[in-house]
Amino acid sequence: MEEKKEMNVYLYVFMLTAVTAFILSGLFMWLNPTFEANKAEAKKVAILSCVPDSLDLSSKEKISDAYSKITMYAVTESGDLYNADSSSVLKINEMATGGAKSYKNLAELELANEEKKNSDNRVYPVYKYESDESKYYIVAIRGNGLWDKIWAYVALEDDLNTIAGIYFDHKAETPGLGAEIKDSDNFKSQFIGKKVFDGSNVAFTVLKRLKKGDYFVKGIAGATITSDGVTKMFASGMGYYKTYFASLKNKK
Amino acid sequence: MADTAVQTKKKSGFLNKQDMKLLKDPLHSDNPITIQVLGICSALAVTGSVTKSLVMAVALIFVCAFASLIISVLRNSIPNSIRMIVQLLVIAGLVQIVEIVLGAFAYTAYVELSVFIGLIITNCIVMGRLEAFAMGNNPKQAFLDGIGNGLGYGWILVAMAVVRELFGKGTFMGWEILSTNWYVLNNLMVLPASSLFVIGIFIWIQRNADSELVDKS
Repeated sequence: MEEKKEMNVYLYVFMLTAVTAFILSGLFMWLNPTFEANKAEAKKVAILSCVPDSLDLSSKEKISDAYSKITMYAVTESGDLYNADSSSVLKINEMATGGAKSYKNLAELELANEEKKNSDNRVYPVYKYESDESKYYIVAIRGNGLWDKIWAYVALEDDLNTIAGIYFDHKAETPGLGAEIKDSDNFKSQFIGKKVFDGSNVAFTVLKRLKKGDYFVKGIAGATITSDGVTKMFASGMGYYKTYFASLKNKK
Repeated sequence: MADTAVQTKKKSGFLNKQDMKLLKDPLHSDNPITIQVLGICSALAVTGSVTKSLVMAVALIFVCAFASLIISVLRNSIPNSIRMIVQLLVIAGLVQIVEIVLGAFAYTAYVELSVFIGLIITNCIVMGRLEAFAMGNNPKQAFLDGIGNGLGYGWILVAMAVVRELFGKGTFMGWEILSTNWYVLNNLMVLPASSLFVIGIFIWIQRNADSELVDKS
């Protein structure tokens, strides 16, 4: 058989890579805005889902309608407050250290990004939900599960202590075990009505064997590390808001 | 390079007998999961819910079919020393396309599946078909072979998901079928390990029904 003449290997790879890269970058530029919009909307739905009022989130308009009742701002661990105006966002961006990216507006605030900063420079989001009959403070907390990060939005009643609703998510917990923090309604419904702070300490705990009390919920059988992760996440995450909550209570 | 060279006979209509065989064989007698036991990793991971595995099946059919088509078109020009790299590049590119499109048009599925969509790159079914078939056959046959194998993988995936979701969560695509009032949810079925039992049972049923598939040795 006659030997087939082959093209130069380097040239071949270069051409193929160029074509692939061209197609992919074109597609990415076309569809990425939609993707980012989806992501922002999913975040809004997550935040709204911990509000106990029955909200209709079935369409884009209804979601943005419901979200308009939320005022967002950010606080530091020492209680300083940053509003959503551009000068505050500028100040937050100035505090960005350790490779944390800066934000175009406050809605982009992500705990995952804040974690890269020095602990003094971090800001934590507060979403204040106000409707005619109710008022909730929704805060974001983040911690470690068994395999990777877990995070939650917690809606607190006006007393800044009682849990009114909760939303969990995780990166890679095991389905049927750790992932139950997100999937199991039984687990999540336990949180409602429980209290977070005992005086100035975070007393909320996920237990293996349930005790009676305002601060306890039962963990997930077979997912001890994820359950303990939730306890630790509450202890650290809610702790960051302590000073701000205290000052808010003093004002009342 | 190519261990299955299909000889094309006279064509009759759009899909002749040979073409139909390419589509049908992977569904049963040459199924990638139950006979060749390839692509088990994703079969363990995504079969917890029917919706998830449907999206995964469609994604794999797309990647497998178009990777086969592209590689088959290029097959005479690919330098032999780098053919696997070229195959990987094509697969990875297609997987990226799937990922970008899902992220824009099916965001929930994207969030649930994201890691496993990326892992299609390492799915041995795709690469296996490229090496064994697309490198040695014409584009139309390669494309059909890709679809056939994608379907063969997909239907097992969805069938497994139906079993696991029904007994694990009592639902079918999120709708409650077995009421939790009288049915105790079997948490084992939600765990990835249960798909090994389910695959095992599938293989047993299939070989019981068709004795041709049983190893004679």
